[in-house]
Amino acid sequence: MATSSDTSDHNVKSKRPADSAFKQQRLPAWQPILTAGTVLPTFFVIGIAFIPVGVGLLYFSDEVKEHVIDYTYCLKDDENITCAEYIKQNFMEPCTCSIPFNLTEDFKGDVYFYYGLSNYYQNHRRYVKSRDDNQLLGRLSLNPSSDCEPFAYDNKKRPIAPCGAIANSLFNDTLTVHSQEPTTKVVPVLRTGIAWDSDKRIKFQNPPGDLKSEFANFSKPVNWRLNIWELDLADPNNNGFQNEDLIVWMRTAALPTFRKLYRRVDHSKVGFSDGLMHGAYVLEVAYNYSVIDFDGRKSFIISTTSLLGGKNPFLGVAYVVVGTLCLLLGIVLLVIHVRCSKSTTEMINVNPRTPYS
Amino acid sequence: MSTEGSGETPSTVPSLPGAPEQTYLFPKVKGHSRSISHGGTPMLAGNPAAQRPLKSALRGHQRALSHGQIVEGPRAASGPGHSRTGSRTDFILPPGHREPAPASAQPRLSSIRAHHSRQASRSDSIYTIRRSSVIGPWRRAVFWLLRRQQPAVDNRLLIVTPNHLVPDKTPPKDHPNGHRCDNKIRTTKYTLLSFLPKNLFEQFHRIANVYFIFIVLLNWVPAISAFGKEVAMLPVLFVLGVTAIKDLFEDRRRHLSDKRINNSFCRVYKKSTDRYMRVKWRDVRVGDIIHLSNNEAVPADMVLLHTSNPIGICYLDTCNLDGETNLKQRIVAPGFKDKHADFKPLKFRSTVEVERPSTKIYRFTGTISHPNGARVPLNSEHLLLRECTIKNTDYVEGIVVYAGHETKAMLNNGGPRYKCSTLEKKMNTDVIWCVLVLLFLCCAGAVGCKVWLDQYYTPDMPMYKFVPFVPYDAKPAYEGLLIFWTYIIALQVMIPVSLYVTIEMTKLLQVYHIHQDVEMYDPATNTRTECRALNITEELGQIKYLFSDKTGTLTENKMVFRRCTVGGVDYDHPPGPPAEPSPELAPIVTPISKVSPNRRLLQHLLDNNDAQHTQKVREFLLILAVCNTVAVSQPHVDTMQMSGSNSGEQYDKPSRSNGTLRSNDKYARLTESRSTTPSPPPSTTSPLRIRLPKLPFVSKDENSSEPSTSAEQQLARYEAESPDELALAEAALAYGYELRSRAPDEVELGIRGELTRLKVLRVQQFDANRKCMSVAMRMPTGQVVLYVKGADSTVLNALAPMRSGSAESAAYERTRTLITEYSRAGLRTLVMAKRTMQLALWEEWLAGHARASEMGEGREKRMRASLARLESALALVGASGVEDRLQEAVPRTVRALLDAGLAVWVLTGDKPETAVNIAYSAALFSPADRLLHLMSRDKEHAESTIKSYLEGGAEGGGEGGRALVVDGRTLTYILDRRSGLVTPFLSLARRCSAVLCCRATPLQKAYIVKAVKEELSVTTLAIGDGANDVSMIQTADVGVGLSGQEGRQAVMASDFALSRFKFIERLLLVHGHWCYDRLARMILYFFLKNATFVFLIFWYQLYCGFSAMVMIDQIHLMSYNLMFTAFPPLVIGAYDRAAPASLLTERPGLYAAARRGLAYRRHSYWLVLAESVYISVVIFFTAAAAYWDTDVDVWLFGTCAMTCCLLIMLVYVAIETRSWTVIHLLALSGSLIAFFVLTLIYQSLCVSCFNLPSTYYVMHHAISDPIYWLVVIITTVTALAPRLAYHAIRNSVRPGTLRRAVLARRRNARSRLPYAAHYRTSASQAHVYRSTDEDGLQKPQTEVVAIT
Repeated sequence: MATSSDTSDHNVKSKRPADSAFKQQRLPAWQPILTAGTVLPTFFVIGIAFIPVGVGLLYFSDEVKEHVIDYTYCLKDDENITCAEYIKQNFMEPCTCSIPFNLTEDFKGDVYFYYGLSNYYQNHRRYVKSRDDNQLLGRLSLNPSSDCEPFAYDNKKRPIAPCGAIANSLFNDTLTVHSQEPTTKVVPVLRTGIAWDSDKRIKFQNPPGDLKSEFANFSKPVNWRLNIWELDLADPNNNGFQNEDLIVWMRTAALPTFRKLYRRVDHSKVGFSDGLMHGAYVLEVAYNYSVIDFDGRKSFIISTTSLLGGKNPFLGVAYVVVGTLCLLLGIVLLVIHVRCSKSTTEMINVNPRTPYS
Repeated sequence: MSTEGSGETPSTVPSLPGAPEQTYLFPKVKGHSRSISHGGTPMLAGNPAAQRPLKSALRGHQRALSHGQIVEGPRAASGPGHSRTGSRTDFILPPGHREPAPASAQPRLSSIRAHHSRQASRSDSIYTIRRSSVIGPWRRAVFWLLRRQQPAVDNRLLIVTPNHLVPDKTPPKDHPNGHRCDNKIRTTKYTLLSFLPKNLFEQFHRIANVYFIFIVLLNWVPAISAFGKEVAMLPVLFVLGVTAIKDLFEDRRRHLSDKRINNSFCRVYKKSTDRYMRVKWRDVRVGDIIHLSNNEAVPADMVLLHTSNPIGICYLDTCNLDGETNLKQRIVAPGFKDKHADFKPLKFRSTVEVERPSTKIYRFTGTISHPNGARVPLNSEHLLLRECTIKNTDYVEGIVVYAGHETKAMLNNGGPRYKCSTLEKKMNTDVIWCVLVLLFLCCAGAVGCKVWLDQYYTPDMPMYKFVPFVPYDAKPAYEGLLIFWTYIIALQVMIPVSLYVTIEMTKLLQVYHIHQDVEMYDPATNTRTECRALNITEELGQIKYLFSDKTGTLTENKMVFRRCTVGGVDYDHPPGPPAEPSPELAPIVTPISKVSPNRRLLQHLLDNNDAQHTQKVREFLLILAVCNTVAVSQPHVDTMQMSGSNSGEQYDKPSRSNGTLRSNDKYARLTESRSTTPSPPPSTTSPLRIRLPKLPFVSKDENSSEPSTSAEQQLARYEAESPDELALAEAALAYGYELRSRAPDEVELGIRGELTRLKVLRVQQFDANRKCMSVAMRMPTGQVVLYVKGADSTVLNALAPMRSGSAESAAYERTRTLITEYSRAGLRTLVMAKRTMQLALWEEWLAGHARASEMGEGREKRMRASLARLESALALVGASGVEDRLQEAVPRTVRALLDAGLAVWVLTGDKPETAVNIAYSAALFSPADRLLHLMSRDKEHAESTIKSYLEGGAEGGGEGGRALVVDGRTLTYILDRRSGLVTPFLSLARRCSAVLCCRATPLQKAYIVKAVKEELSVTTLAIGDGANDVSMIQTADVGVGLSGQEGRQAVMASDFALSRFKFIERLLLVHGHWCYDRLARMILYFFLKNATFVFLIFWYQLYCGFSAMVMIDQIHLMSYNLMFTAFPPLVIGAYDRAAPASLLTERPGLYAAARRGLAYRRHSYWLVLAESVYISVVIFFTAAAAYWDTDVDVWLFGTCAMTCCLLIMLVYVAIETRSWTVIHLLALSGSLIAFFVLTLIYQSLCVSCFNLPSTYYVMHHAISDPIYWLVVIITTVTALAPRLAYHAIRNSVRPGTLRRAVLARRRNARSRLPYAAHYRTSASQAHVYRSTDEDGLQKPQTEVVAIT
C-alpha cells in the first residue's frame, strides 16, 4: 500500500526532505587543496620556527652543569675488593667506599643529587605490577594484593609492608658528598621535596597512629636493612610510606637507563648558598645495593637544572635537524611550485566542446 | 444472501427445519476439473484427493511435477539451475514450475488471469535466483519449533475442525485445533526476557566479538593478564552495547508493527451468540469462520466458503504478499457455490484437511470432509492468503486453516539479505593480514622475551633474588610462551574490532544522507530515495555494468494509445490534452480518457457510408473493449458493521450495480483502495446518465474528477494487469465502448450508450509462447466469434489465406507496413483479428481441446496445438500502437552514465524494433554508432556471427562506437553453458558502448547479469521496476528498484529504491563516488591509527625486556579507539567530500576515475602499515631519546607517547580532509579537548580505581613539563611532514583526475568570474554532460569499455 500515492489526496504529508545544509551535505566548506604553492609557507614557517627553538634548547642544555660518577665497581675502603664483590660474599654486611672527585666548574643555582641506574628494567611488566597501591594509601591489610607475589609474605607467612618487588628492591645505598675545601665538611642536603607533591600528599599515606605499632604485624621487605619506620628517623613526616626515597623509587622509571632524584643541596646552609663551588669533593657510598648480577651500573650525579630540566642535547639537535629539513623541503616545494604551476594551469584548462545533442 | 452470516434468527432462511443442525449435503465424489486454470498441473488439487490412500503416492508425483518433469523443452537443461533441495523454505514456486529454461518455453498457465503484451509477465518474478540463506537461523529455529509443536496426524495432513463444533470450554489440550499456533505473530527477534541472552548469543556469532571475548577471558588468567581485568572488558561491552542498542531499536520497530497488526480487528463467528463478533487478529484461531468485507485484509490463510458474489468468486489483491498488483480471482470451495443462497457458518459441519504449512504461495492442497463422508478437494484457488486484501467483493466468509506463523505470508517473510561489498571483502582480507601481523609481533615478543630472560637465567638459582625486576622464577621458554598470550592482549588494538561498529555507523549516516537528499525526491509521487540495504553504499561507487529494464524504467510505463489501424486505414492519436468531443458527434459518451478520439475514426464509426469499414471499426473497438482481462472494480457496500451486526439487510445485492444512491463514505472507502494502475477517472458510466444528452459543462465537471461531486455517479475503475490492456480499454472507452463489468461467462458492455451483454464462451489467456490471447463469444446471431489480440508475429501468421489482389490482401499489406512504422516510432504494437465459426465447429473444438487437456504424455504440446488450431484462419481487423513515453531526463541520464564509463545494458522483453528505437531516443545509441545485430535462429549461426563481429572489430574502430543488439532466442544459445559462447559474447559486448537485449525473459536477464558479474568479475547494478526484474535485481551486486507503475515487488527486492530513473545519476555519480571514497579512506585511516598505536607499544618492548609492558595508561588504551579517535573516522566516512556534488555531476568522467578503486588498492594496506611504522618510530624514539636517562616514570612517558599519537592521528585527518566543515572542526578539536579534559579529570579523581596501576596526577605533571610539549610538537611535525609534502608534490606535479578537476574548477571560477554567468546561462545544459578534456577526464566510450 505504500505506493498508494493518490496525488489527488492533498492530505498526504509531503515526504520532501528538509532542505537544510546539514541534511543536504551542503554545509559551508573550506576546501583546501594541498599544492606546492599552498604548503610551502607551512614548511618555511616550521623551519624558521624550529631552528631557533633548537638552538635555544641546545643553549639551555649546555647551561646545565652535570657531574656523573659511576661507582658500580668502587673499592671497599681500605680493602682491595670491590664493594660489589664484597656484599655478594657477605650478605647484608656493610661496605663503604669513598670516591674523590673534582668539580671543575661552579655549580650555580639549585644543585641536585641523583642516583642513576642503567640496564635496570624498572619498567618490566611483572616488576611494575608488583605493588599494592591500596597498602601504600595506608590501608593496611593482612592480605596484601596478589600482585605483590612473591613478595607478599615473608617465610613466616607474615604480610610484608610495603609489599611487592618494587618496594623490595628499594635503592638503599647511602650517598654523601664531602666538600674538601676549605675544610672537610658534609655537603648539607634536604631529604624532602624530591617526590611529586601529589604522591606525597595523596598517593602515599601512613596508617594513622604510631608507625612502629601499626606495622607490628607486618614484616619488612626481605632485602631491606631498615624497618619501615626507620627510613628517616629525623623527620617523622618523611617516614613510613611517606618517605620520599620510597615514593621516588615507587614511581617506576620508563626506560632501563634512568636516574632518580636523591637529594637537594640545602642552599640555606653557609657556604652552599650559591650552589656547589668548584673544588675537590669526596663521595662516600654506603654500598648496599647490588646491580652486578644483571650487569647493571650505578652512578651518582650532581646536576643543576635549567628551564627544561636536566642536560639533554637531543631535543635541541632534533629541533635544529627537523627545522633544517623542513626548510629544505620548503625549497624543494618552491622549485616545484615555480616549475609546475605553469604547466598545471595549462593542463587543467577545460575545454568544453561538442555540446551534447 | 448477505444477511446470512449475521445474528439473525435462522427462520429467515428458507431451509429445512432445524436449520442450525442442518449440514450441507454433497455428492460423495466430486469430479472437479478445471483444466485450463490449473494449467500444467491440475492434479495438484484435483480429484486425487478423493482417494486418501493414494495421497502420499501422489504427493511424490506432485513434487516430481513441480520439479520440472512436465515437458522437456528444447532448452530445458541449458541454464544453470538453482539448487533445489525441496525444503520448505527455499523456493516459492508455482505449480507447474520447471527448471528455468532461458527460452521460457513452457506456457505459464497457472495464473488465473492472462498475461498480456508485456512478454515478461509479472508473476514471473517467482523465478528468482534465490538463496536459501535468506532464512536466518532463528527463523529456522522457529520452523523447527513449529514442527515440534505439531504432533503428526498422519505426518502429512492437518485436520481443521470448525471451532463452533467444539464445546466452548474445551481446554486447548483436547481441542482438535488446540495444537495449532494462534494468529498472533511475532516478527521480533527478542522478547523482553530473551533480549539479553539472545542478543549476546547472536553477537557472539560474529567472529570479531568472539575474539574480543577470548581476549577478555585471557586476561583473567593470572599468569598472562596484562591489564586490569575489569577495564579490559570495556571495549567489548562498548561494542556489544552499541550493537545491542541498535538491535533493540530495530526490534522495537518490528514490535510496534506486530502490535498494530495483532490488534487489528476482524469478524469471527461465535457459536455462543450465533453471530460474527469483533475479534482481534491475534485471537483468531485455526477453525474459526471469518467474515471479511471489501478492502479488508485477510487475517489468516483461510479456505473460501462463501462470497457475496452469486457465482462464488472473489477478488484478491496480493500486493502485500508478492507485489503483484493485479487482482486475483478466488473461488469458493467446490460445492459451496450451490449453497450460496443459504450459507450459514453454523451449518458448516465438515472438517478441512490441509497439508502442512509451506512457503509455496501458489501451492495448496486440501480436502473438505463432509460428515457424510463426501470429500471435496481444495487447491490454491480456494485459499485466501494472509495479508492480501479483498477487492471487488462485498464480503467473503471462510474458515481459517493456517494462522499466525503458519500462514504462507509469514513463512515467506524472509529476513533482510546481507550483501558484502567488494570493499568490505578487501577489508576483510586486510583484517586477516592484521591478524597475521599481530601474530608476528606476538611471536617476536615471545622470542625476545625468552632471549632476554636467558641472559639472567641460571638453572640452579632462583633468579629473582638477584634480579629485582623479574620477580618470577619460571623457565625462560615457559615464560616466553606465557608472554605470547600476554602480547595478544597487549596488542589487541591491532585487530580493529571497533572498525566494524564504526563502519556500520558510518554507513547508517551515509544512508541517512542519501535518504535525505532533496535532489532525489520526487514531488510527483512524494517519494524519497529509499535505502533498503544498509551495508553496500560504497558499492555504488564501483559500478561498471548497469543493467536496466526498459519498460517502466527508462520509460514511464504509462501506456498511451497512440495510433491504430483498421482495415489498413491509419488513425493517429497525437498527444495533447484530451480534446472535447464535438457536440455534433453525439450521441456518444463523453469520454474521460487520456485518448482524444480521432475525428476520422469517429466518423467512420458513426457514418454508414462504408458499411463494411464501419463494421470493422466497430469490431475493432469491441475487441479493444472485450478482448482483455481488465477488471472493473465496483464500489463496495459493507453490509455488516464491524461489530458483526447487520446493517444492510434491506440491501438487495444485485441492485448494487444499478447505481443506486450511495453515500459519500462509500466513495471514501474506495479511494482508500490502491490502484497503482491508473484507471480512468470516473466517467459517466451509469446507464441512466449515458442516455442523457451530454452537456458541455457536465463533461467539464467530470473532467475535474471529483468522485464525490455527484453522489449519483457510480465509479468504474479499470484494473488491468498490464498497462497496455488498460490503454486499449481506455481507447475503446473514448469511442463509447465501455467495459462495464466482467464475469467469467458474461461481459457487460456499454456500446455508445446501449447496455449490451455478451456471452463469453471461453478465454484463452495470454501466454508468452503464443504471444496472443483470445476470447470466444457467443453472438446473438448464434454464431461463435473468436476475437484474437496478440503480437504481429503470431497473429499475422495465423490469418486465413487471402486472395491476392483482394481488398483484404491490400489491407493486410497496408497494415503490415503500418505495424512496421509503428514499431519504428517506438510504439508497442498489437494486432487484432477475429474468426467467426459455427457453433458446431466451436463445440467440436471444445471437445477436442478437452481431450487434449487430459493428462498424459505430451499434454502440453497437444494443448498448444489445439489452441493453435482454434486461433487460425483469422480475419485481420486492425492493429494498435501504444506509446510508452520515456521518463523525464532519461537521455541525459543515460548519456551521463555512459560518460561515467559505465557499460549500460538495456534488457527488455520488447521486440527489437521497438527496443532499438527506444535505445536511440534514450541516447543509449548515438546515431554515429554502428549497430551489431545478433539474431540467430541456431547456435552455429550465433557463434559465427559473434566471431565475425569480433574479427571485424579489429579493423573497425573509427568514428562512433558500436552498439550490440541481441534478441532473446540468441541469448538462449549464448547463455547455454554448453555452447561456450558466453566468453566470446562478453568480449564482443565489452567492445560495444551499449548493449540491448530484446525479448529477454526475466530469468535470462538474471543470467546475463550473473554471467557478466562472474565472467568479468565486475561490480554490476541492475535497475528495474517490475516483478520481472526481481531476479535480475537480486542477482546484481546492487539492485535498484523503481517504485513505478508495476507495484512494489522490485522495490522489495532491491537495495535502493528510487522513484525516477534519472535519480540513478546522482545516486551513482555523487553518492556512490562519495560513499566509496569516504569509506575507503576511513578504513585505511582506521588501520593506520590502530597499527601506529600497536607499533608504538611494540617498540617499547625493546626497552622493557619484552615483558609486554604497556606504558600507556590503560584507560587511554581502552578509550583510544572508543572515544578519542572514534569521531574522526566517522567524519571522514560520512562527511568528507572529495569533490563538490555539482562537479561530480558536471563531469561524469570523474566517476570512472574513482571507480578504478584507487582509494583502496591491494597495496594500500601495506602502505598504511609502512606509514604507521614510520609514525610510531618517530614518536617512540623521539620520546625515548628525549627522556633517556631522566627521572621520567612509565606513565608520564606513556602519556607523552599517547598524546603524540593522538595528535598525529587528528592532524592526519586534518591533512586528509578535502572539505572542512564545522563538523570536521568539532570532531577534531573535540577529540583533542576531550582527551585532555577527561584525562585531567580522571587523573585528579582516581587515586586507585578499577584495580589499575595508579596514574594519579600524571597528566598534570606532563603538561607542566616543557619536554612533553617539545616532544609532542616535534613528533607531530616529523611524522606528518612527509605526508604533507607528498600531497603537495603530487598535487602539483601529477595530480589525480579528481584533484585536477577540482583545481580546474577553482581556477575557472577565479579567472572567469565576469564570464561565468554567461557561461552558465547560455551554455547551460548543453555541454555540461559532455565535458571533455584531453587528459582523460572523459574517455571515448569504446576505450572505457576496453579498460573495463
